[in-house]
Amino acid sequence: MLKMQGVFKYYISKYRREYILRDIDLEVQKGEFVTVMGPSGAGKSTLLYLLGMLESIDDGEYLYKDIPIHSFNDKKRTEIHKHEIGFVFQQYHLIDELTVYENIEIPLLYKKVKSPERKSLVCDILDKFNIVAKKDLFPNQLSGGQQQLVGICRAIIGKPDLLLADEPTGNLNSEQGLEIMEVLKKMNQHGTTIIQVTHSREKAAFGNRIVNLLDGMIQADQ
Amino acid sequence: MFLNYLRIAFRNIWRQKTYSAINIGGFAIGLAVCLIISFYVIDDLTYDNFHDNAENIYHLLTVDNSEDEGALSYSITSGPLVAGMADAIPEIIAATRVTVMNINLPLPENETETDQQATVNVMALMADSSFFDVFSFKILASDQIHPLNDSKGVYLSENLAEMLYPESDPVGKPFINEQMEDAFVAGIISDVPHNSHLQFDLIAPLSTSDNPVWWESWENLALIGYFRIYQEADPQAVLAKLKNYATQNGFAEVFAPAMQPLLDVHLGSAHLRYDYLNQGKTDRMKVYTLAIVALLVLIIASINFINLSSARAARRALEVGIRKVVGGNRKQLFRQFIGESILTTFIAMLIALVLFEISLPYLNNFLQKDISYDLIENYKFSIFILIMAVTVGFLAGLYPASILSSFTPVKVLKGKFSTSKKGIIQRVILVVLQFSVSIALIISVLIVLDQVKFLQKTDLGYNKNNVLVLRNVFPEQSQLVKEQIEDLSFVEGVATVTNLPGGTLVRLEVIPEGYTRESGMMFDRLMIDDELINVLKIDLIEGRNFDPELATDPENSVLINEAAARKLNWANPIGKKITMIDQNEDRLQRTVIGVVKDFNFTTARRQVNPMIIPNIGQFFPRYLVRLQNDDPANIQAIEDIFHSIDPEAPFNANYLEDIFSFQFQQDLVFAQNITIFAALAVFIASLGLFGLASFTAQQRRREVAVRKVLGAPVSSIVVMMSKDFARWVLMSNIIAWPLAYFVMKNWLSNFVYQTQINWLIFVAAGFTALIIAMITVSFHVIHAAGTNPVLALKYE
Repeated sequence: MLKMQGVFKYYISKYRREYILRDIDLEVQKGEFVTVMGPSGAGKSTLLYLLGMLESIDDGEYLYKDIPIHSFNDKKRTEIHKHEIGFVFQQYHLIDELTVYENIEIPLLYKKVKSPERKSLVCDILDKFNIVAKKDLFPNQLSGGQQQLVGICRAIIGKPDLLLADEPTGNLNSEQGLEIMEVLKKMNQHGTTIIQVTHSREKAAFGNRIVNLLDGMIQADQ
Repeated sequence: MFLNYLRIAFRNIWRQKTYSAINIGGFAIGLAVCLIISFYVIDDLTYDNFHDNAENIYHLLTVDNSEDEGALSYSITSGPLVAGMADAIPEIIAATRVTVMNINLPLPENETETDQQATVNVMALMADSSFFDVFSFKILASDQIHPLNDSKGVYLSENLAEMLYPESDPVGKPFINEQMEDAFVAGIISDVPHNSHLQFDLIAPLSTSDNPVWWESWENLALIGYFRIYQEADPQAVLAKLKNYATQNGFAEVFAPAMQPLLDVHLGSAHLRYDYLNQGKTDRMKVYTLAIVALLVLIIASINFINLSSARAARRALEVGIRKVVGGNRKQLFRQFIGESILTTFIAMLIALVLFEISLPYLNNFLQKDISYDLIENYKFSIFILIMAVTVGFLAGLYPASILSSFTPVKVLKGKFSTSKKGIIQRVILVVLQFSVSIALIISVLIVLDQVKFLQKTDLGYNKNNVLVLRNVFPEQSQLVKEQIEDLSFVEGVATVTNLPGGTLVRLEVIPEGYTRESGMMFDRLMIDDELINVLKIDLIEGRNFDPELATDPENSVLINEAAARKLNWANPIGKKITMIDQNEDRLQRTVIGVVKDFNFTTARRQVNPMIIPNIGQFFPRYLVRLQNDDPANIQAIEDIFHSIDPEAPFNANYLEDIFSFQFQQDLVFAQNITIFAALAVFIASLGLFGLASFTAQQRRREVAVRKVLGAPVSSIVVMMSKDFARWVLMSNIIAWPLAYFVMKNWLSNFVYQTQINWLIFVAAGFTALIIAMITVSFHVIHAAGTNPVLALKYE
């Protein structure tokens, strides 16, 4: 589904290139649950953002569903974000001014889903995650775990093929963290490809493949 | 989608109450000011445009070429010229002569009233029957085919008809009044719109035979003429034919007819003399100044809006990031933020409308206008408001929206986001611009006020302090009253005059010794008695004053002013002869007995014209009484004299100084208007600064905390944080000073007597702005400096 070959990512600071990622070769098949691990500053998040096309690669090749991404223009990329990729963040990144229901609804709005269908989709997912009672609350009225649930709901409501999760449990206590991981695992079993970034061995165990990053390079891929 | 946007917009407004209050409130005030001014400006610009073919209607002016300094223009013209021109010049459809008369009308009997019958004073227009062919005032009811053809038939306004004939249809009823016998009501016209320069309650037929000397003479100017030409006609050709027609028929040689478009009458008549029909006239400069002030206030308010929105952009950055990640594109986000901006301005517009409605009656009173506003009735203006709100919302939101929508999600979501240097510089530029405008406005206001004060204090060549003006209500006993007043211990002198300062003088054709009639000399004439020179303390430079002992003085003698002596090149004017030609073509030769220093009896706006000052040995309608002091008891004593002669006599005393000041009333009102608007502009700019200071304080929280932990005293932090704001305001002076200087220099050049532009005004304005700015930011600065640093550091 995804294929990176010889990918480099660097920032230019004071006329010197500072490499974040070097020579990354990575291939992810449909239905995999990949965990990216490594110490702080290893380039995990950057790799995730590159895979999610939020950042562009500086060198090498990245094929998304066998199409090189440099052939995508902005519009096409937005289309892919809209229909094929879901993001989950460590800080949840919900919009504070919107209720749970409205937060989950946003991707559907951008997909121009009609109102009745939107309603049933949002209600379904609220039901599935047992947060129907919370639908009119604002994010700051929820616990961290609940907020991350909402974040996941929002990420998957558009039925993406690929879910990218950047330390989805990093801000949660262990119990909540495990709950979230169970949810992700279940989704993977239903066919969603998942790539997550985490520090925790325990959380990595939920996946079926671990990629270790160190100083921008892949150390191990099991 | 739209609802989602709307919801988030409202919640954002609600969440940040202080910010929203500043943003919306400041903008609402700015818009209200702009609305109010536009309303009046539009009113002034649309005067007289309700007539059909208004652009083809002209006012006939007379240009007097007898002055060296340039032609004088009169609003009046000669009767026969207007009467004959429609027939003589084929392009003219109709021409009408108009004059005005104040008449008292008895109101219908009212049982509860006392025996004294109530009367109403109305403005009566007297016009030719062609009046309705030129103008399109609406006739509502009439039994005549040709209005104003019957010399006894008058037309009443609806309002007046209701007042005089409350119970019945007035058409055909007798019209009782003292001026016209056997008059009757021939018709009803709709009330004259407030934006008509002709204001009247009734129209009566003009009968020139009532006043043949003035109204039927080619030589004398007394009536006001209007005419309408065909759409296709070339006004230049009409004017040429008019000039030709006038000279062929004995129009005085120094005069030439000129045309003023009807639509220019309200704004373009400031220079006209004898413009007695033109009600509520103003000049273009004032209207444009107001319009510019309105625009500046709007710009300041918009800058606030832009500044606050873009300063706050950081808060919305996260939302932008999220929306982009879940599939929102830049266009959609841009639309969202522009929409929010328009929504905000729309709310501000609603508040502004409420403010406008509330303040309208006070403003009418203050600006001496009578305008009402109805959302539906004035639908054009309502549409204008709506368009303005949307446009301003769009323009003001453009910059913040384009910044916001351009955020890259990764930066925002990784938390690396910080406001760029570029954004800060743009904000500084905008603040500097705002304060430049504010300071320039303060300077302008101070100079306008200074000029008005200067005009009031200008030495006009006579002393107007402690001079009381009384109406001479005893034409038979003038001498007696005068003597009795003179006998009062506190009275220094009593004189009678025809004209008061601030009015217009009659201009008279004269033939001075050594000149012929062809030289076309026209002098201002002021008729006085032998006391006036003493009472007003006018300097006599040469010769002598009129002598009451010499019986020949009222017959043969005349004073002239310096300007006249200069104009005639007379090195030694005493003993020279001047022939005065009056309106009856009678010639009277008088000998110059003295020359007085130029004194300005008309208006402080104009140079003193050459003047002849005869004494014809009569008493005039007004007494001027010079008092030793302004003790109110003095006035009482004079009133007692009046009432000892006739207990019923009306007594009305005013100080000459007050009457003189009246001519500056309009200028003062104007100055007050801009003062208020300028104050509001400064207030709005301060609101913006207040908002910005709060953001800066927030941004520098950590810096302040770190400095405090390292031992910086509160005072040094206050200085550090205020320094930037002070620098911006000081920088504004660099733009504001030259701008204000050139604009005001230009404005002052409209006056003959000009105040010196005082550099202290500039310093004062800059200093005022600085103080206001410092007070504004001090709230946040002191708050930030006093906060416990641990709070800020922990938070990070």
